[in-house]
This record gives sequence, structure tokens and C-alpha cells, in this order.
Amino acid sequence: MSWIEAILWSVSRAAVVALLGTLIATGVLRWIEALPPARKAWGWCSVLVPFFVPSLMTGYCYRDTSMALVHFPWLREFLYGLIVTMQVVPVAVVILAFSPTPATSAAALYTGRLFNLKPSQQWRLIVNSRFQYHIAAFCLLFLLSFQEADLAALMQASGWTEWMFTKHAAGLMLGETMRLTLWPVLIQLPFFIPVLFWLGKDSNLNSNAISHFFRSPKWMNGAVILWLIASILTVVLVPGSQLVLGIRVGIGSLFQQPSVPREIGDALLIAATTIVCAIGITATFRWMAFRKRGRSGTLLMLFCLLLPGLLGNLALGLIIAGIFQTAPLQFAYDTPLPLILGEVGVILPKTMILFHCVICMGVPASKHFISLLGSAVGRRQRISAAELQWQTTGRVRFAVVTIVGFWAYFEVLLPSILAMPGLAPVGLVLYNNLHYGRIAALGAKLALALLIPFLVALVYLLLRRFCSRFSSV
Amino acid sequence: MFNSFLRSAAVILVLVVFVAAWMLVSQRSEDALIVYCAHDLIFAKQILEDFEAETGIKVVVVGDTEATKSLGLVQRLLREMNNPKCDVFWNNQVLGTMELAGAGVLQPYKGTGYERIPDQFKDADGRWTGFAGRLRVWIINTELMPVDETGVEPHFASGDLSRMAIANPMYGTTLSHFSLLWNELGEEGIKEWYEDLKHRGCKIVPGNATVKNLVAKGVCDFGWTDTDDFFVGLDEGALVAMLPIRHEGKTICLPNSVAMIQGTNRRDDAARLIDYLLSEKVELKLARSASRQVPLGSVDESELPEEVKPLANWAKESVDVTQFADARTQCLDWLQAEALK
Repeated sequence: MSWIEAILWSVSRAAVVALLGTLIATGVLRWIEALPPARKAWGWCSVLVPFFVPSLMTGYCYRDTSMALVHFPWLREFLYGLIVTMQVVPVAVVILAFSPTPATSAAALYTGRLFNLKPSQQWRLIVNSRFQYHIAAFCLLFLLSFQEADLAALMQASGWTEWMFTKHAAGLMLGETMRLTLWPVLIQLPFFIPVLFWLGKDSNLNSNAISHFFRSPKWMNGAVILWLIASILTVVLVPGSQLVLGIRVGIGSLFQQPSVPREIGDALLIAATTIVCAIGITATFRWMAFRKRGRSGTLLMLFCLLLPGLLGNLALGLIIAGIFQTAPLQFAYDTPLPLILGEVGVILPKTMILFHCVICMGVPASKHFISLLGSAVGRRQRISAAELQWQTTGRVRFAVVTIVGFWAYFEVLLPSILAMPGLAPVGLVLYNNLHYGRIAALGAKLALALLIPFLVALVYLLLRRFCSRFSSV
Repeated sequence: MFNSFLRSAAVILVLVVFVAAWMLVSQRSEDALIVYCAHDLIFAKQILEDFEAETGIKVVVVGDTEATKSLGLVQRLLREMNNPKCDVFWNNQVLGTMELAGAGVLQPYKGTGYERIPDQFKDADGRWTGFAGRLRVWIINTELMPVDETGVEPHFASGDLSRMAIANPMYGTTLSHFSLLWNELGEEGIKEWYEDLKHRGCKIVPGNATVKNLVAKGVCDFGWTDTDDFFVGLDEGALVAMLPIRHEGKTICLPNSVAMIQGTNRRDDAARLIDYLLSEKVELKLARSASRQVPLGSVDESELPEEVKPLANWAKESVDVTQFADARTQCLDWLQAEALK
């Protein structure tokens, strides 16, 4: 496969994944909106859970299956495409669900149609309606699918990332890497711009927004439920069950590896540092952008911050490694700096999207009252305010921090290129072992690695609850 | 006022904790011997931990990143040539090490370990020394094919190789194998041969472990792999057998190699590790490990596991791997162009 063919193949696959994903997400959102309030939380859980399954886990499960399809390469490509679609659909659902109220309402659209407007005016109305969020969702799915490299490497799916791996077999100079990366970046730019506009939108919370309610036909609801079952089965339950089987096989070898706690500690340290940097930058950006600058300034700043993410983790890692090998920066080559820069570059776009969604969820009307209560003289009132703050906004913020940390914790390509000697996060060690094909011994270690972020989150929640009870006594 | 003070204090505390944690991680390699190790860490780590325990010399291992292939340690060492971070390079094969020697990345060292390794597996100038080899073998699913050379050879010569698998020849020991073929068949010969191999449907898969998996599961009938991968399959209970791959009657034994990096400032510790790795004790340990590496120096044969004894004899019949170092670069360039066209 030539470079052009590899890029074209990736573009075609990403376009199909994005199109299908956006269509499916539209149906899924309607299904969620039609659920009774008591079931909504479960509905959201079932939609979101496939997105949070790390590629290590799906790779662990499907690597052998993919290799066994050696006689049917098209089936392997189909399986890879299917898994990627199942993992990215939740992103589109979130974008569609948590976007600001559009300038053009459904009623305005309908009225526009009645007035027989010119096609250009009609189009302008459409672009300013909720349709813009469908475009943003499509573009974001395209970017996610186009950049996917971890699972593609494990399943040997064709595409530009795999081509680049191969090209590096004999080593490439920094300039050549940058030249090669240019095409994928240029291809992503048109898809990046709608996402940029979506992110640059002031959440402009409109408490009077009229929410649309579409009742989907029964067959569509049935299809959505089938899709969700298939997604959970393929991306969560089957890999999960393999993991459980693997625990049984690998539990003995786990205790013979004294380096495991250190590897987990390294991954947690990388995750924590990335959380602080990525969330710090995002919060600072939002504060600066929406208070100090105009819309064009905001978009320009966003563009600069998110551009490194367009390179994808492989190319970004290579470029950073190359830059830190040049004379002026060589002193920092074997420090944590290159890795932290890379991690933040890759995680920042996802963090910004997450933040934007959270802000679009709406600020509770009680926020102001809670802040007043928090500055009350009485200790009890202040404690109640803190608890209320947790209930209204704290939980969501905690979820954001956990998700960003989870992404950084399981990032594997960047540490493989940029980690200094002595730093070996557990995800990287597992990923390398998967490539060596030592599948049987990995189950227990992977299960432990997966469990740790949840345990850390649980410990935090328990501590918070304990402190809150203790202080209210 | 008090709240903002608390917040500032918390931020400062978090920053201090992060800086302290990263400093601790950085210190791991400060007074340690840095070893870049391309050998499978599942097996190598134990050896290096034993070395640490015996000598008190702290070792930090940087494993090969199979995930990023090219960013393998040979490429990394070439990149770091003017600013070396590594002290000792333990490669799982020998051709990449020879490339480093040619590029001036390695410095000569002839210690006690060097003396016990046969000439055919070491650099005459002492820039690298081979030890503990693996053999290139046919792996055969015993339920699907007879296990003898008269069974394998006709299959290999047949018009249909769709049930045969080999690892991607751009990497690892398969690249060494192809470099040998480059020498044997010549540039045009190997190109024709490889084209024919693919034309007959031979499956090219990511690595030797995958070849083993495919044959063990019956997806393919036979393939080329290394002895260490074969033994992993055998230990997992797969119905597989092996035969040595021979070229003009000679087997292919690809040793690990160890070398000291030019510019290391821990020369004494590096020398101790090199002598340790080249010792009889380590060769025996590797022979008894799950990978069943073949000792290249003289060892007490009664200490060898039964299944390694025939391998030790086959290793004595091996081609001289040092003879096809020059072919590696040309072969790799061609394979890369072939893969990306």
C-alpha cells in the first residue's frame, strides 16, 4: 500500500465510521430523551460505557481473533471498523445532547420553509440550527477514527498510522517525519474547523430553551437497543469475560512481578500530572477566552492549543522526541518534560470537549444561592453549602477529572517514545507484552491495571463522604 | 481571605508533591547502569535483577518498544549517538548491533565473557559479543501435517502456501533470516523468491509469536518462527512440533548480543554486566528459562534441559551470522520499499 493509498483508505474508513456513527447517535439520543427520568441514568451508562474501554482491553481480546482472520483480511478490517464505530458513537451522542441552544429553532426552520426562502437563506437557517451539531459530531468522529492508532496496530488494520510505523522501521529524520505528517494534518483541517467553532461557542445558557422531543418509531427504538446490546457485548462484555478468564491464568505470575506497583505508580503519576496541566490549561483558556477576547481571538487561541492533537499521538511523539534531540533542548531530553508535553498535547482536545459539554449541561439555578450560603457565618451553613456544591457541580467536575486521568493513565504510544529511562507505566508494559503475544500471562495484570483508577476514585469518594460526615457532626 | 489562603496552600502543596514525585522518578536512573534491552523483558528482567542482587549495582532497564517497531532501540541509540544515555545494549539479535558498531556507537570490550564465546558469534574487535542463541525453525501443527523434512519441504515447494505464515521480514530475527537469503540468493534472486512466496499465498503476519499462535490454533498448518516462540506454544499445550530451517545444510542460530556504548561514564559497571551476561551461569539460566535459549559458550551439558540439548547441537551447525551484516541495510531498504509501494 502506498502512502496515498494508506491515507485514502483511512479517510474512507473514517468517513464511513463518522457517517454511520452520527446517524446511530441521532437515534440513540432520541431513545435516551424518550426514557422516563428514572431510567435516564441507566440509559446514559449503557451508551457511554463502550467509550471508556481502553484499546488495551479490546486489543487484548481481539488481537488473536484479528490474526486468526489472516485468510479473510476484509473481515479483519470490518471487525476493526465495527469496534471503532461502537467506541466513538457515545462521543457523538454527547455532542448532540450537550450543545448550546442553536440560534435557529425548529420552529424557525419550519417557518423558513413556509416562506419559500431562497436556497442560500434556507441553507443559512439550516447551518444555524441543530444541524450544525450533527456536522460537529460527524467531524469529531472522523477525527477520532482517522487518528486511531493503538487498536489498529494491535489488530493490524491498514491505514496511515500503520504505514507510518512501517516507514519508521529504518529510522526517519525529524524533517521527514514532519513532512509525512503534513498530509494527515491537512486532511483533518476541514473536519477540525466545525469542531473548533463548536468549542468556541459561548455556552450561552438559555434557561428558556425549548427542548425538542421526537418520538421515534418503534423499529428505530428496537434498532437502537440492538445496537447498544451489540456494543456492550462486543466492546465491554466479551473483552471483560476474557479478562476474567485471564485473571485465573495469570494470577500466579502477577505476584512474581515485583515491578507491578512501580509501573502502576508511574502510570498514576503521568495521569495526575496530565490532569493538572490539561484541566489547568482548559480552565485558564475558558476564563481568558470568554472574558478578555473577541470570538476570532478565542478561535485562534483554540486552534493553537488543539493543533498538536491533530498530529495524532505517534507523529506528535516522534516530533517531540526529534525536537528534544536538537542541541538547544538536548538538556531536557531525559527529563519528564517531553512526555508531559506530549500527553497534554494529545489529551487537551478531549479535555476541552469534555469541559464544553459539562458547561452546556447547564449551571444549576441554585449556584448563586449556594455561594451565598458558603460565605455564611454559621459553620453548619457552610458545611451544607459544600455538600450542596458537591451535589450540583462537584460530582460532574470529579467525573471530568477521572475521565481525563483515565485517558492519560492508559496512553501507551507516547510513553513508548518519550518516557525517560526508569519510567515504565503499566499501560506501556502491557502493550509491549501484547505485541510479543504473551497473551495468557497478561490477564491478571491488565485487570489490576484497570481496577486501580476505579479504586483511586472510590477512595476519594469515601474520603469525601467521611470528611463531610465528620465535619457535620 | 482564609479560604483563598487555603486554596493557594493546596495548589502549592500539589505542585510540591508533583515535583517531588518526578524528582524521585528521575533519581531512579541517576546512579544506575542504564541498559537498553531488546530481549523479551519477561525473561530478561529476572537475569538483570539477579545481577543487581549479586553485585549491588543498580540497573535501570529500557525495554524495546515492539509497539512502535522503528523506534526500536537500535534507532534510538543511533539518535542518541552524540548524547548517549545508555551504558549497555542487550540486543535480542545481532545484525542491528553490527549496524551500531559500524556507526561508531559501540566501544570495544574484551572481558572474561568474551573469551568463552566462539569466534563465529562475536566481533573480532570486541565491540559486541553474542550469547544465548535462538534457532530459526519450522513450526508445524502436528494434527495437520507430518513432522519431518520430507513432509515440510514438498509443502513449501508446492504452488499453494496459503496455509503457511511467516513474520514480517522487516523486523527482528526474520530480517536476519532474510539478510542471509539476500546473501545466498542475491538481490534479484531474493526479490523473485519473495514475490513468488507471496504469489503462492504465504501469510505475512506481525511477528513470530503470531506465527506460533496461528499454527498452534490450526489457522495455518506451518510457518517460520524462533525456538523461544515455539516453546511458548508447546508449554501452552499446543499440538506443535519443530524442525530446524536449513540453508545449504546449515542451521540459522541467531544469538543475543551485548555491547558497551561509546561514551558511557560507567565503564566498570558496564564491563561487569557484560561479563555477567556472557557467563556460563547466565547462559544456563536462559537455557532453563521458558525461552530455552541455546548456550553458545562451553557449558556443563548435564545442566542443560533435555529439550535444549538437540538445539545446542544444531547451533554448532549454524551459518556464520556475522557474514551477512552488510546485507541487512540493503535488505531492509528493499523490504521497506516493498511494504510501502
